[in-house]
Amino acid sequence: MRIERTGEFVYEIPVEDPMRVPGRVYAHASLFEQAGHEEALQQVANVATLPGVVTASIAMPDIHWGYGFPIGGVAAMDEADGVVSPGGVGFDINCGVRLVRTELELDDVRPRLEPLMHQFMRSVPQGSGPHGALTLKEGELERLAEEGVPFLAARGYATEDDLLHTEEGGVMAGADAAAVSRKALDRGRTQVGSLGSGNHFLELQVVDEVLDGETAEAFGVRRGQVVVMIHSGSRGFGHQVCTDYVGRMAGAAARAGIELPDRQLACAPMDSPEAREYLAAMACACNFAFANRQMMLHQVRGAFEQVFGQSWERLGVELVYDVAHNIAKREVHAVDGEERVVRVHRKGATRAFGPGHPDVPEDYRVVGQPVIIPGDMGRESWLLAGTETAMRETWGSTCHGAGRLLSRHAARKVRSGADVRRELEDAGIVVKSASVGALSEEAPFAYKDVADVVNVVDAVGLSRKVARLRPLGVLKG
Amino acid sequence: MSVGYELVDHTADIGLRVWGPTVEDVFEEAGRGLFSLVCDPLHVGELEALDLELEAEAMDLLLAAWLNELLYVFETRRLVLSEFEVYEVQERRLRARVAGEPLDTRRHVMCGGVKAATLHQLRLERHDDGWEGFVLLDV
Repeated sequence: MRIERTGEFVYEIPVEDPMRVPGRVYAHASLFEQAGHEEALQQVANVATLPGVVTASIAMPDIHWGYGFPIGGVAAMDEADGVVSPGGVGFDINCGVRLVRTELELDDVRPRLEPLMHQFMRSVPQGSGPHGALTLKEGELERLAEEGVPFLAARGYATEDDLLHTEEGGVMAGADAAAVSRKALDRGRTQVGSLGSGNHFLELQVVDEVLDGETAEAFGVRRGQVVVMIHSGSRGFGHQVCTDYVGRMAGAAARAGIELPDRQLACAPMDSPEAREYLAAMACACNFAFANRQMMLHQVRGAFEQVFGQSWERLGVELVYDVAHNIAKREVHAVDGEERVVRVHRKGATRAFGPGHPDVPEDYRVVGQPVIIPGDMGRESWLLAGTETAMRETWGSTCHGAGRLLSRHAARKVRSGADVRRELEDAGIVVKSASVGALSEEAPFAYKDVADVVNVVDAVGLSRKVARLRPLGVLKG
Repeated sequence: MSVGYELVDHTADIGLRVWGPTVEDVFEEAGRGLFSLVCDPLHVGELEALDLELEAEAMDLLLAAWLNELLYVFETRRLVLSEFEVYEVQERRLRARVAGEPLDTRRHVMCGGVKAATLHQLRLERHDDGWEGFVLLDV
């Protein structure tokens, strides 16, 4: 495989049989020193072989070796003659991030940091075992999966403003619970409003630097303000949907005569029953994930009320935005001057629509869509804004996080979870975790510096830096 | 051939390599390896057992399906599985009995957790002296 550098942070993989389009990778030169980068680049080339892929198989600067698509992969498939691939979305369908602002300042929170984090731990179930915060009666999970966050709004768990500030308004069109297996429903039934395990977290953060005052103001964000970031997905519900349809599509791809370089790239032509049903089930899993993060916001609001003795409205605990980073969406984009309907697969990539786009909430439309990029728990996270360049070059997409540097196993060998906890506490960060081991797996040294990733997307114009967020307290799954 | 499993480094995920004299041994080891990443059993309380029957389009796909089935059992029956008895693995079908203690979130120590068994780099091979498999787990 040949790789050509076409810009300071842009690399191209020219078309070689059986690729249909070139690969394009936005990255810092240090990518080529990273373990597993050859496999990740091969995965970019593999995606370029899929039927109906338009223009290029793209990867973001946090690219790393995944399964099927690389993590950080973006590809648009023609809605008429392309394919849909569950491996281009991943097991954790609509894994995503939401950022919540408050009217509290660092000095208000510092004396109550420990009780606040303790209350978060009690209110937001974490780890892979416990029940979620919401109990559903027979038939209600199916409705939640079809209706998304509006289902919760009707029951007092979400406001109109929450809906406006969630990608897709918190409900993906085309959701049909009949396409979801009994097993997926069984797994999801008790998990709405739970953080999960792995790299999922809830962090209390402070805005420690604002780089674009006008945009920050539009997002309701200012220096010294305390915010909450929630990173979670569709839990067992989404994992089971992906498992079910990867299995079904292995056969569908073979029947359509599609040769797959990796079985995890299993896909089906857009007009096949397998594709239609997968998209209906995927939309359900997306709605489950939006609702899951919304329920956690509801719990967080309650925790603030308990610790500060005031209503959450008075404390200004409002949703800035909620973005998905594992999803396949029907979108209209300009291709060679013409509008084309495509299915944009984003796997470990965030939608980053630019100013003026009708899908950006009205109050943010002048500045562009908020993009939330979680970093590791010791350093920082970022708030960015979408751009016109992203619309032209990457189907309105940008990076999604820091990207791992060390495997979980290697991270455990560097330092124990107890040591990681002590180091974070020495830095003034309160840590709560269901699993001590998870702390070393998710330690700052296991991740690349998110600033390096953000600097690349800012430099190439795929998004614009707005504010830097520093952790005060971490709740780990 | 001995019997066992090992976890293999992979940047974002975890590889599970399993081996044993029979294909059934390989499946049983895969179950143990998987649960080493999910939750450590305390070996207290009554074990609850259940019988499983699975089908897939090929034997290696059956290995991934088996692990995904065990994750399903963990999440829905809330059992920390510690005993895996695989009676028979055929080309497209397996029968097994698994057992575990009920999950007690106040006492059990959760490990990092596993989302799913993927098909990326999935392998199941017969050697002269036994069987070997590899599954990449999304964690």
